[in-house]
Amino acid sequence: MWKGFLSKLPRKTSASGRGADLDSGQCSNGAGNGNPIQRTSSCGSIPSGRSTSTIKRMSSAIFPSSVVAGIEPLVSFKDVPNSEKQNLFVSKLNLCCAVFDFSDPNKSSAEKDIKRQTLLDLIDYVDSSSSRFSEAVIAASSRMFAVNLFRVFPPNYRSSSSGGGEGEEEEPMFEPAWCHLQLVYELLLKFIGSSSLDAKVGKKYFDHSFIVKLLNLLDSEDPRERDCLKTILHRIYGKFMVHRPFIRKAVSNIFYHFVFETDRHNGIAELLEVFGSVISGFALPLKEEHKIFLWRVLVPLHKPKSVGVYLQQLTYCVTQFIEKDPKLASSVIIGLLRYWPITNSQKEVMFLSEIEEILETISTAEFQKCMVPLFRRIAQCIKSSHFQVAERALFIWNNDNVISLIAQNRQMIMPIIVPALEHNSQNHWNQAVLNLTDNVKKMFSEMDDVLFSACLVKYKEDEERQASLESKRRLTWEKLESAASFQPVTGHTAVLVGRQPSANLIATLI
Amino acid sequence: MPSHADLDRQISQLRECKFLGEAEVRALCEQAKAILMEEWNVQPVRCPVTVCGDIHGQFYDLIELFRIGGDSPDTNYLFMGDYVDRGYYSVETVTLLVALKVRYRDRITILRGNHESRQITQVYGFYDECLRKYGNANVWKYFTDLFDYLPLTALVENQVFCLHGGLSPSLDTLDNIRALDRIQEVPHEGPMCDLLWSDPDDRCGWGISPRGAGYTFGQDIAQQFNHTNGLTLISRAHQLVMEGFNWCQDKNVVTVFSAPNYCYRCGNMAAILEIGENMDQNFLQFDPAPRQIEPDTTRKTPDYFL
Repeated sequence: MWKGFLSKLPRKTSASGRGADLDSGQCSNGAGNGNPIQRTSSCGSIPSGRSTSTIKRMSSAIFPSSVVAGIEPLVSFKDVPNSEKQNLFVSKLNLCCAVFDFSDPNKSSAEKDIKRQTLLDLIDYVDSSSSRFSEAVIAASSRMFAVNLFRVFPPNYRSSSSGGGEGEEEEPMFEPAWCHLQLVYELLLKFIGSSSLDAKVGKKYFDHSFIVKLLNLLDSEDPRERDCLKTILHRIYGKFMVHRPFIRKAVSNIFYHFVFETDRHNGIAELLEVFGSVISGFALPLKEEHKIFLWRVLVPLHKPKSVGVYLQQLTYCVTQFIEKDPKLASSVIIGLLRYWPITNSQKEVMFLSEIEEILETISTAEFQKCMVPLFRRIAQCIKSSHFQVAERALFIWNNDNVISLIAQNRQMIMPIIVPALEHNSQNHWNQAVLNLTDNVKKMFSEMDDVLFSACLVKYKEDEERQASLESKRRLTWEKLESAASFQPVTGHTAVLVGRQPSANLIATLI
Repeated sequence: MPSHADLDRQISQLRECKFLGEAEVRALCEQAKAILMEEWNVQPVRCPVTVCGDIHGQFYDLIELFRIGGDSPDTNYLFMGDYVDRGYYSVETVTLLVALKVRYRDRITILRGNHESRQITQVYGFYDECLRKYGNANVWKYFTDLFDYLPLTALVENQVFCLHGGLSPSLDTLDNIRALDRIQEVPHEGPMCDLLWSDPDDRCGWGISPRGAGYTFGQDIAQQFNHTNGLTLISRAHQLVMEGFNWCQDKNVVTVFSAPNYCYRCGNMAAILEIGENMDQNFLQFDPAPRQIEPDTTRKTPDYFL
């Protein structure tokens, strides 16, 4: 019977099975013709270099050990009178407190099946129950959930290098005990959502400590588990009004810990997704607490290098805030500029996308508050040698709303952007960037030809001034060097001799 | 012009995986450009020579390669491109190879791979690595400007034709290749692109490449090319092969791949091809060098917070 469940467990693909040459996914298999050292490694085998991590990936979280004496199946709900049903429910919950070791699939397979069946009975009962849950039922449920779900994940059980998310996703690790966990989560979801659960009594058992432990589980490697937790957290937030401030604080703490300390958490995207709908429910005017959450949590969440994993959810939260209170737009943009990535081009492209999304709805007044620093940054991006960064920055001019904002404020913006465009026309290596640059220039000259020409003239003057300044500086150096080369070396004073300062010397000067 | 002493100091610094200053890289690239400008699209190479495939910034594996194949300049080397991207040390790897080229121009030949291009290096890591290590894109610019001068192919004793990718439907003879104007960014299509992107395949004639650039070519094509040009073998890189080398197309083509455990995860062996004084061929296989940890750039919580 247990084999049946096992076959439902997702099968792990071997790490070496994909991405041979990652350009193409092609892999020609070495036959080793004429090779004295025959090895049998092939695309499908587990690479030796990763064997330790492969072992790690199989290991599950540490369960609280519970002694599993032989468990016996209990009678069915339909075989007892209504008055006895809640007592039977408690007994069944107690049975489900037995936790099994799934590292060995052959161990206690009969008992595992009894528990699975019992969990299914419990779910059915909660689904169909109409009478209020007694306090004993709620207490026993809370205990059963705690015993089954709350466990400590092995420390560092994901290699630190993979947390970076440099575009290459690690395949997720799957929880071996999932066939039980899944049912426990389903029961928890139904239980919390059930109209039979009185929130006033329930809040005593689904208390702060329970919530914190539940939140900690969001660090699970298993995406299925995180998905369940996301829905449950949402349900708890909805049901227990009294816990809402606490949940917000506890989640903020997870974010703080992630951004400022560990840089490593698996459930940021899920937490943000829950928060997306929490934010859309905020009453107006926004409480100070919520604005602080935006500035101290959501904006700094742009910093970690794994931001790509959860950026979609993060952008949604940010735009929800701005939709609620449009006066927040400029402060968010200024915040993004503060966290602007300068050594990660993929991230820079993402930031530009988020900026454009904010500009989509920004008011003129808010736009004017941040446009100067913002367009200075955009000018830098336009000039970037990275073709994707430059392209993304220039794509902003495809947005009608942005164009109208730029047109209204062209006196400020054109002088910032035109030098970047002109710089590209003269220097950029990429043809697509050159074409986009030409388009924007054309648009500017149609928008206000007088201003555009004036900006061009000023650019040329600035360039010439810069060039003459540089040649003057070079001359001064040459003079200094030739003067120095005629001086004898005295004492321990270092004297620069020779035409070019050696790189060594420059390095020590810097 | 830095003297040999300067260059030797730079090379020994690079061998310790310490990258050079920006001004040094600039000067080095200038010198390398002058040397590569003199080389041919089909650069003649004498035997004995050791032919190597992709390195991809796996610096410590390159050092292992020199340990297995003999140090430069004691061994005459021919590298078939893809020095940068993917690995953690593209800067150190490519700088070392270029420095060796400048110091020992007749003992090392470096060809162009599809990753020696502006566009590809911005997507696969070399560009960002330069930003991280130098704080600006200047070094990326020096190197990618230099890459335009790398020879496209090499010819060992008029018999073994070496290049990164494979053949092109627009190039029947070596003279066709010699006539190309190679000093440019690798184009998205055309003969120069094909040489750096194509792959051999189990088929007849030419096929569309799943890579989106170059073509796949069958044994008939390779045989015809070798016959027309009086060649015995096409040696190329560009594809991961689990043993580090792989004969195909009835020994008309061999693939050599010199990045062991590619991307620090593929579990493959690496290999180099020794071509001896009498054009005898010998493959040397090797496993990854022990040190494979990512250089730690992330800030850790200081101990006193624990």
